[in-house]
Amino acid sequence: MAETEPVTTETILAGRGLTKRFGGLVAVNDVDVDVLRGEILGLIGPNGAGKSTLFRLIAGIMPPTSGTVTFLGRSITRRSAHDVCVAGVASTHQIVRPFREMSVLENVMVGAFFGRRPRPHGVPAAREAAMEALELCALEGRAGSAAHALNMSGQKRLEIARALATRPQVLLLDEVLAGLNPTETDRTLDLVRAIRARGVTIVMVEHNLRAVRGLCSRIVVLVEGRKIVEGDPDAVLNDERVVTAYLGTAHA
Amino acid sequence: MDRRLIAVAVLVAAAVVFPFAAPHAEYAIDVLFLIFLYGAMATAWNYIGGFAGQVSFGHAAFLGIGAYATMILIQSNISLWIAVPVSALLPGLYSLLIGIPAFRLRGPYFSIATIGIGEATRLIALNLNGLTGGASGLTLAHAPPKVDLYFAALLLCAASVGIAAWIKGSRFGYALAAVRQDPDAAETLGVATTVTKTQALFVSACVLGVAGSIYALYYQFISPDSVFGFSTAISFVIMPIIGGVGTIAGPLIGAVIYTFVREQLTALLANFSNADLLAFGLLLIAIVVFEPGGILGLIRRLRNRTRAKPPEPVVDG
Repeated sequence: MAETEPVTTETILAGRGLTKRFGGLVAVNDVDVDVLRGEILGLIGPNGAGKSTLFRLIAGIMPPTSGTVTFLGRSITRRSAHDVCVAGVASTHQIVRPFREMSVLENVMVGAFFGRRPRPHGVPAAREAAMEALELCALEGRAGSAAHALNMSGQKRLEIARALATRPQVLLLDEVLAGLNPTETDRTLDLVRAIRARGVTIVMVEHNLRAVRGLCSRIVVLVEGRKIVEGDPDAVLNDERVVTAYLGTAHA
Repeated sequence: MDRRLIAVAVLVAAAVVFPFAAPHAEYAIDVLFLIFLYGAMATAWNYIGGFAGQVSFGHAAFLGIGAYATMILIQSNISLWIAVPVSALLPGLYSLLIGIPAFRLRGPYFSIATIGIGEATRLIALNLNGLTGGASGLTLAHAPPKVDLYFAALLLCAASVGIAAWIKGSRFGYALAAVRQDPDAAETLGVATTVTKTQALFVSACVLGVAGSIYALYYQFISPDSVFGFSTAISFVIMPIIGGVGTIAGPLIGAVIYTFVREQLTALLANFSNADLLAFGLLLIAIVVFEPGGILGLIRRLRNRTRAKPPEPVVDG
């Protein structure tokens, strides 16, 4: 896969001091994160580390208790989820949420109709834009199917196709590999590379460390709501603190 | 040409010709008038209750405000050309008072709020004696001929169905369907869910307002219990459910059945008031239990059974 857009040093999306409290629990604690234009940034950490919560703060699904999110130099802190999507930051849901009464194509058309401007005018244009996203996700053969007739791998790719149809500049992928077999995983990794090759910056929360190592240009590690390490995948995954967080001290 | 379109064209032509062919069939014209008016209102209720899935028990408020606005303006010698647009717009604005706060909340809060708003509106109308005439209502000495109002109701019904058809095939329709099926997913795809629901409610309320205007002119009498009554509000929920919620034809089919059944029951059980409500309550329970898709859902199911289509296999894309 030719990587047409090189990773730059330009920060496209930045979180500063992001904190989220749920009563006494601090799910995300004072996290700074920079996403560079054109990169695939991996966000890893043990269960309950606050990865998905951090995603939700960025995507506007929930507001941070404190801290800011900046996209292309402008604050998107506390903007609603639809505003963030229209601004150019799209996200997928960890648990797939297709519109159950719509076909696969119609699901993706919603994204095409309402995402970042310029939007397609009229149903035919939206259908065309949606088909393009479906082709990239290898779902064009299932365009007319009911969304719930797809298997897990298909539904995961439908989540991606829908988000992609909103014409994002940054795509937040929340555990798109979870529940996939090795063949499906490889296909999805190829898909993520293809999306990146189209100039979309990607941030992915992932549990599959082998996949993260092969795919990501940088990795951020969250443990108990705090960022403990970030940097080059090999260096990060060999970092003693990361090994300890994942495996416990006895194995370190 | 689509067979359904031909059927619709024939029905509309028959409705247009009928008053000329049978100018003395006053009862039939009364019933047809009601069918058109209820068809228009049930269809408009369906924009928000069906397409967006936000069930409203308060639509009588919009009907009533439209009816009272027309009555009061006409009594003050203001032209119909001003009275009708005002009667459309006032309920629209009133709907924003309900929609903007209630739609910020997820779940059944909107439906619950509409019950309260509907009753509150009735009580306000009952007690604003100076403006509304209180419980004795308002009467109108002069009104346009009934045949004109018959055509006005037919036109409103056609417009209401036209709006429904336009919504269904438009970007707005996709937004409403997305809001109904999964508001959180809709939000993350860029759909401004609160604004979308508020817009649908606004359009719906405007159509109800015009219906109220036609209603007031036709009967030349309105009272809080007739236009703001809870049974009126419930009828807007019953009709789409009978025919098929979220469809174009469903509310119309429901309006036809509702009007006929109510006329028959009222005649049959003249000294058993509100027997129609009991009958519709039982019908509603039967539909929700046995065929939530209403009559159109039943037809679809029977058609699928005769075709015996195998279920779609679950395979990888």
